[in-house]
Parts: sequence; C-alpha cells; structure tokens
Amino acid sequence: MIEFSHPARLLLAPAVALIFLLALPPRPHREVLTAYLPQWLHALLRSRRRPLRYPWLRTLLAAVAFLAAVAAFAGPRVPPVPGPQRLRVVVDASASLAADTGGGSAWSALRAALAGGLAGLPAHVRASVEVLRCDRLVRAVAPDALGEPAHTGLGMDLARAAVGALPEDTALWTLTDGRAPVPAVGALACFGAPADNLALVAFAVHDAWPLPDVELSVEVANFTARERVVDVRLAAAPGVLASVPEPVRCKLAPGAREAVAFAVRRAGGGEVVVALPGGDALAADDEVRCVLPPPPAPRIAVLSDSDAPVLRVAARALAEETGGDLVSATDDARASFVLVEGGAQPAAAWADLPGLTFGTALVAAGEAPAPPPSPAGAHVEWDRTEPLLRGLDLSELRVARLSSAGEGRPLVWNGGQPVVVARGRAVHCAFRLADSNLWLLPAFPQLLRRCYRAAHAETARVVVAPGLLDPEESDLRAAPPPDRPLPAFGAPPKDLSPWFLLAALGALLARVWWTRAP
Amino acid sequence: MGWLRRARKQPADPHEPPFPPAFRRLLLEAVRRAPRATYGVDCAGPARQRTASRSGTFAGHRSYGRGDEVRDVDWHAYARTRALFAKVVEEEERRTLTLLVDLSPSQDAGTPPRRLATLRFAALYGALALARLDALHLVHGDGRALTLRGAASLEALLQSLAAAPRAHAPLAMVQRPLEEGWAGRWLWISDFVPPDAVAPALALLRRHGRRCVGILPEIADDRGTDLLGVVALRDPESGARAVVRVDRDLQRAFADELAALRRAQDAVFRGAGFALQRVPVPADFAPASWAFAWAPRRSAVEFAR
Repeated sequence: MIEFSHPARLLLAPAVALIFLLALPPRPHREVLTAYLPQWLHALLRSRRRPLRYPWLRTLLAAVAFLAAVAAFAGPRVPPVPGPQRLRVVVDASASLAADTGGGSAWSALRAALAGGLAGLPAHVRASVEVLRCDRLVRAVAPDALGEPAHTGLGMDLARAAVGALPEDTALWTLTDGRAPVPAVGALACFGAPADNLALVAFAVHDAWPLPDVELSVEVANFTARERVVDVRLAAAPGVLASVPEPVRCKLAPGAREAVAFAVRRAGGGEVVVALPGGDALAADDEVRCVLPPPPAPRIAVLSDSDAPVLRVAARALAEETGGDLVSATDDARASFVLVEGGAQPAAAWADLPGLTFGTALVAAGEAPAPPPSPAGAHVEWDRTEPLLRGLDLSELRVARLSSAGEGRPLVWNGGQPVVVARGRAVHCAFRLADSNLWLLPAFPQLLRRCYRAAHAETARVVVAPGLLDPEESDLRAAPPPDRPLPAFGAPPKDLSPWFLLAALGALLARVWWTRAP
Repeated sequence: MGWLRRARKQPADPHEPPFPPAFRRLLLEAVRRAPRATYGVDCAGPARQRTASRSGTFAGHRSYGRGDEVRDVDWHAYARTRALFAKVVEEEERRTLTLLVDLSPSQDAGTPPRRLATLRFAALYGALALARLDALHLVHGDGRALTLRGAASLEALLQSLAAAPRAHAPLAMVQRPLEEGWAGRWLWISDFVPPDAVAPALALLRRHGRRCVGILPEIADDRGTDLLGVVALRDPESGARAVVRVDRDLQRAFADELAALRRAQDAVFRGAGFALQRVPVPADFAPASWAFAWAPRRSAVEFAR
C-alpha cells in the first residue's frame, strides 16, 4: 500500500499524453502500390535504416520514466504502522538461572532465546538489553556479553526495575526464570522447570577474636517434595582450624529448615567451607565460604606514672589470653597495643595510637596543661548500642576523680560529661584506673579485649564470600509463569521516492539502449 | 512541343477500361497487318497428318524421292545400304499458342498499373494467334484454361481477359495444359515477382519438351523510383505496408535491388533454357503510343511461322 505526501502533484501525470503525441512519426504524403516491397526493405537494410514506425516501446519507456518521476515528485511512501518501535529487554541474571533442570541450564536457554529473538526483530526496531545482576540494572553491550548468572539473588524487585521509566513507544521483554515476581506488562519468557533443591539459606559467624573460639552456623532448607537426610560438613585447609569437626546429619521434612552450628577453634586462620553434598539442580546454594582472620600476636606495652600494679596485671592477663607478649614501652620493637595511665602526652603523636589510656592528658602543641582532676558524680551512663560496650554492665562503675576526656566519640558519661571517648584506634578514659573501680568489674577483661579488637579491626574481620542466596531463589519447586509473546511492532513511514527515481532512470537507460540497439 | 510532350506523358487513368475502342481499333489493325502464315489462317482443324518435318519424333524411313529436301536424307542409312532414304518424323509442333496470363494483385503496382499492359499484350498476342494459328489456349492465373479458335473469337478473348481472376499460381497454370497435351508455342506474360516462384513451372515445361517465352511488360517502376520524402509503400499481393523516408541514397540502393531482381529473373529463365523478353510499356499508355513498334511484329512473325 502506497500513499503520497503531496497527492496534488499527481495532476502532472496526464501530461504523459504529450509524449505519445510527440512520438508520432511523420505522416506519409502519398501511398504507393509496389510489387517490390521486399526490394525496398532490402534497400533500407543496406542503407542501415528501418521503416518509419510508431516507436511503441521507446515511447512506452519514456512514458514510464515520466510517470515514475511524477510519482517520485508526489512523495510516495509506505504509511507508518502503529506500534512500538523500540524494545527493552530485561534479563534476570540471578543465581537461580544457573539451575540445571535437565537439558542444560536455564541460562543457556535464555541466551539462545535472546539471540534468536533479537535476530528475528524487524530491522527498524532498536533493542536495548539490560541485565539485572547483583542489585543493579546494567546495560549489556551485546547478547554475547551477558556473561554468567550472578552468585547472588536479584536483590531488587524485578517487576519494578523492568517497568520503571518505560517510554511509551517501547515494548518490554522480560527474560527470567519466574522465581521472582514478574512484570505484569510486556512480553515474558520464562526458562527452567520445577526441580528439587537442597540449599543453605542462612550463614552466621561468631568470631571471638582475639580469642580462638569461632562458631559457624548455617541453616539448611529442604526444597523438595519428600523427606531428605543430608550431611552438612565443614572443611578447611590444614592449619586453619585446630580440628575439623565431623559432618552433622540433618533429617529434613519437605519444606523444612534446620540450623546447624559448628564450634571450632582457630589455629592459623584461613578459608572455611560449609557445604552440602550437592548433586541437586542448583549448585550455587550448596556451600558457603568465609575467611577467618589469623590469631593475634599482640605486643602489649604499659606506661604508667605510678607504681600501681593493676594495669600491669591486666596487660599480662590480656597477653596470656591471646598468646601475645608484654613488651617494654621503651623497647625498640613497636608495640601493637599500649595501656597508659596518667601523665600527659602530645596529642599529635597519640592520635592513632592503638591502645587504652586512663587519665592521660593529651596536650596539643602550645596548649595549656589540663586542669587538675575534679570530683566525679555518682551516676554513670553508657552507650549500650556501641559494639565496644554491648552487653557490658557498667552500672557499678564508680569514679573518684575526673579529668577531661578530650575530643572523641563519647562512650560513657558521668553526670552528663563524657568520661570515656573513642578517638581513632584508641579509647581514652578521663580517670585513672586507680581512681575508679573499673578494674574490679567483670566487664573490665572484656573491655580490654574489645579495645584490642577495635584497635585491630581490619585484622579481625571475618570475610564471608558472597553466594548465599535468598530462600526464594533456592526454592525451585514452583513452575514458572506462562510466557507472553512479543507485541506486533510498528514501523516508521518508508520513503519510496528514491525507488521511483531509480525506476525512471532505469526506464530512460533502457530507452537509450533500445534506441542504439541495431 | 513541350506541352505536347507533357500531354503524351500524362499518366493514364488507373480505372481506365483495359480495352477502350481506340485499342480495339489498334487490335484489328494489328491483326490485319500481321504477316500471313505459311499454312494459311483458315485451315480448319488440327493438322494431324504425317508430314515431313525437320523436327519431331523419328517415325521411320522412306525412299528418297522428288521434292524431298536434301537435309532430310539419312546419311547414316546411305552409308550402310548405299541407297538414299528420307527420314520421316511425326510432327509435334502444332500451330497453336498457349498463352499464360498472370493477373495477380501485384500487377496493380505501377503508374499506370502493369495490369493494363499485361491485358493489352495478352490481347494483341491472342488476337494474332486467333488470326494466324489453329487455336489459342488461354490459361488464367488460377489454372483455368480456355481454348479459342478463329478470329471470330476475338471478342470472347477480350471478355475472358477482362474477367480474368486476380491470381497467379505458376504450377497450376502449366499442369492443366500439359495434361491436355497442348503443344505449340507458349507465351507467359507476367511480372515474374518473385522469380523463384516460376522456376518449378518452367522446369516442368522443359521436362515436357515445351518451349516457352516469358513476356515481362516493363514499366518505369521496374528501373527505379523518383519518389522522395516520406512515402507509404503497400504490397498489393500481401497487403503489407511500410512507411519509409526516401532520399537519393535509398533511391540508389533500391535501383541496385531492382537490378539484382532482373538478374535473378533472367537467371531463372536461362536456367530453364527459355528466353525472357522485357517489353517496354508506353508511359502514357495511350493507344496511339502502342505503335507497332511495341511489337512485336517480329514476335508475331516468329510464333506464326
């Protein structure tokens, strides 16, 4: 179907009659009977001429060229077809796409379907492929660059991410396995099939660093239709743990979950793996890994302006508990943790000191010495959400004399005034240990360990490898929703003027060729 | 004299009757002035007796006697027997004329049409034959034949010619006379276009021992054309039509083609052992112009002999 953008210009077409009139051969002025017509024709042939005839073919070609030019002048075009002309492809790259439900993974089927679908699109449709992976929507350069599914769940709402900011002339095509809520609009292609799966759905590490005690707990889920008995095992490289525990056998009803805990002691630190036997549809949720920090080797130094043994005893106890050493403050070896009581130290030099100070005045350059300690109030309050103090009971803390705690994040208050602050890697107490009963409280050893751990937070961190999926990702029992086909795409108007001009030129060339043909 | 020349060269009316009164008078005058035949024109019936003749089929010997010509002596028999014998042959050359007249549509070509000349030539030859010979066999273009005898049949001759069919089938024209066994002289009046069409018929006549003379009334268009400009040419035989632009070059090329055609016509008759005579037709076609010079006085003497 062709329409013209300037149909009035087609009124030039009747002028084609002039071409036929101008092509009329001259009218003979007489007609002669002759018995020698063959001789006449032979004479013409010898003279390289032909009888005068109406040049039907040449005239017809000229007329065709004229009509084609008129049609081109009138702006012929194929009318546009309503419908979307762009396609937004959203690919669910969550870990569940790696599930192999027989005949290859769902991801392989998704990539093949995507390549086939893009190849079958009309040429004028512009498609953009966006991959939903690890809580981000990333535009893919090409279908071949999709990579592999993530090792995590989607982390976001697939339906909202796919439909969000969808232009009006853009169709949506979502490719997923249907484990997450799918968009209600647009085309949908789901891959994969219902399958049985055993999964680790939760993992937690309770590390008592700097102590060697570690507790790893996992939660095993049975996403099958029958009861399953499974052995959960913990594995580590030699030297990481003091001893590797035996596998824990779980008996799981269909859809049931069970927590399994492993209490181990750290030997050297390293990677620890908690795994299921595997062999099910989705391997990504059959194991979880973490890296335990190595045990500390603290070198603890004590600086005190008095002979009170309390601080020294506490330092010795911390060193023995963590397997460290008590070093002299004047030793060349750099101390990894310092316990200070009293005195005054330059603030600049102690800005990043890993340690715990009691009543030490940090004086900046050119600053006046701190005022003498003043009597403290009776009521003590502390930040119970602070990791350093969580679970500690400081209600019995009594302080006789207080000085200024200085700048820092307040941890403990006395009468509304900060008496313990955290600054950098150090914790500063605004009282001397001897002026308080802190060393008598049960929380004191824990506070020492926590201050040490806080001073070495980077070293004490347990690194858990990503890979733990959402339970919804691991539950492969549900059948994916039915597919929805791609909509009929629209098409822009197609200008046919060049083709008509080409036809006119071709007709003229054919006419020239026919004229020059012998 | 220029006006007189122009008057004489005035083209004849194409619709002019073929035998106007002036021509009829000319015809009678030609018959009257034709040379007398040796055997007389009033000999009734065919001469079927055996008679000595110089040509014919050998029939036997008889003793040479008084009155016999010396050329009839059989010298081979004399050499064997030392006696003179005269050869006796059966006469084949009867005193008749078989006139083949082509009045096909192609005869309408020319200015004036060749058809008028063909009819008048046929009338002249036929009248002479009726006057001087035993019989005239008139064969039309479609093969139909008519036998006329005596000068009294002249009007029938003219009527038959005037009503002759517009056809020219050479083989059909010669087959009927050959089947009838007509001997004597044969005259074939036609334009002989195309020449190859008459070649089989001429060959057939030769195989049967007939002698034929072709008469081609030659009009001005047979030598070339004086046409110039855009002209429509139409073949009356086939009805084909062509429009050509005639210039000097085309005139020359056409004249060359006509010369080639004449050579082809001559070659066809020469190949059959016959003669083709081109008899010029007066341009004005006036009976006065049909002076006896056309003639075929010599031809009349020839076939009347």
